[in-house]
Amino acid sequence: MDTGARVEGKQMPSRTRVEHGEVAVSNDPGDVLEARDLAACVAICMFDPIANVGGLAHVVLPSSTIQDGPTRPAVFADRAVPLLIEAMTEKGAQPTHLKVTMAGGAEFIGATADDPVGGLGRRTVDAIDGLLRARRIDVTQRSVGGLGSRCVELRLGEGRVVVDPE
Amino acid sequence: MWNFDSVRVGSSSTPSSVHAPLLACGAGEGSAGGAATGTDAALRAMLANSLQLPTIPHVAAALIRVTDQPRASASDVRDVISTDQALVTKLLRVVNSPMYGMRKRVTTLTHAVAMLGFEAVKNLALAASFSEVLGQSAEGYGLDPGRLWMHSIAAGCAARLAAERTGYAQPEEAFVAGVIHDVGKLAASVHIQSMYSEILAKAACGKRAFNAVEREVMGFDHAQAGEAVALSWNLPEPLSQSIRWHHEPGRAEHAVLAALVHLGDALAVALGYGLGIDGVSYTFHQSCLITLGMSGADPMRIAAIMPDAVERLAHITQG
Repeated sequence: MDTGARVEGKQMPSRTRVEHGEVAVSNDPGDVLEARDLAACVAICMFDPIANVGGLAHVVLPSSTIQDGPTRPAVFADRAVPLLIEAMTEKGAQPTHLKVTMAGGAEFIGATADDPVGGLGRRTVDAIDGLLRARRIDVTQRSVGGLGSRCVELRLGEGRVVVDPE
Repeated sequence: MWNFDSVRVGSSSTPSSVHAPLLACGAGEGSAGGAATGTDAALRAMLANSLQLPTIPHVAAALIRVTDQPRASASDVRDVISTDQALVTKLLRVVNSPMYGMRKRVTTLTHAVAMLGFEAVKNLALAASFSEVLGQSAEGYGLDPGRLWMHSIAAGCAARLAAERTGYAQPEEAFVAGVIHDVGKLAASVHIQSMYSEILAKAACGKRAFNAVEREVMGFDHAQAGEAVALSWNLPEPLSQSIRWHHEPGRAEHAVLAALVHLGDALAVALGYGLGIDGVSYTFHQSCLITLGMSGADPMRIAAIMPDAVERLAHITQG
């Protein structure tokens, strides 16, 4: 990851945009990991405050069972969750220390969960909840569902996740 | 973004970013060949008073003029596109992208026409030429420069992927229709600003889709505005129809094309490509899947491969 530029003696944060289906992990307190315009996609942010390791996955779909071709590694929730945890662990994080934030998963007007497009967000949120529960990992902060598209950033230096709008 | 200056044909003193006044809108007349247009004289007058129609890109105008001729040939289309070498270069980049899986590199327009056919190359050139106008901002809809173009290529890309999946005969027609579907936002952008707060307040209730709120507050929506643009540009009827009915695909005469555009648009919204103030305030009509013969899993299969496809296209269509 790039080192942030120095302006007036202060270290500017180095921003990494995590695009659809991507995962990013860092232990540099100068880093900010962000995902923008989530809409029905879901960002999973994990932070280990003891190891100072943070990670973000930009998840698009609930399950790889429908997959019929090559995709980015974290497009599907059931690939993204283990991938993010593994990458965090490789950087020194402990699964039992993780603070987890989930954001996004917006739904279309009047969409039910089985709506193939309008209900994608809800299905992806449900899938991630199930995958984390199976690993006994709690979600400590969540801003999901509804009609609004969100942006999220994980500020490693502060160990804080900012969701806009909350 | 594309270099807008580089995709113009001939010399013109009128920059394409200048909005032309709506002189003869004609929305709803002769566009649907019997299908409901949902417009009448009062609506036409309202559109004429409210819209600022963007000027058609010169290459697009020339392509439409040439292909309107009964004896139009592949060489006519090639001649029009060849007048702009920058456009040729970008078109060849798209043709050589993984989207087409060419075994050998396509290096000339003649080769591209031979490989893809006359209609496909015409539609690709049309889509490329539209980047000129769709790269502009539509401030009334909260779309900064480049944002509408990102939404447009995402919707076009998804519509094309859906067309391939369903065996639609002209996937590039679906691509160009997806690319141009929201052109009405450019035309209505200034008008909507005066009603911004009322529209936002009503849309925030979350009970109706944004285009329904537009109709209630403005008297028309961006799809109707888009049809007015399409007619003023003399776009082929399937394109003007798919623009008009991209939120209500079941009402279009060219129902399959409209369904492809609706699905492409919905997926672009769901994945957050180029969202404006309307956000995800959207109603997805599942009946479009029946029209397309798709299962409920097919939209997810398209969504799964969209990120790579859209990023490549966005990269290719840059400068």
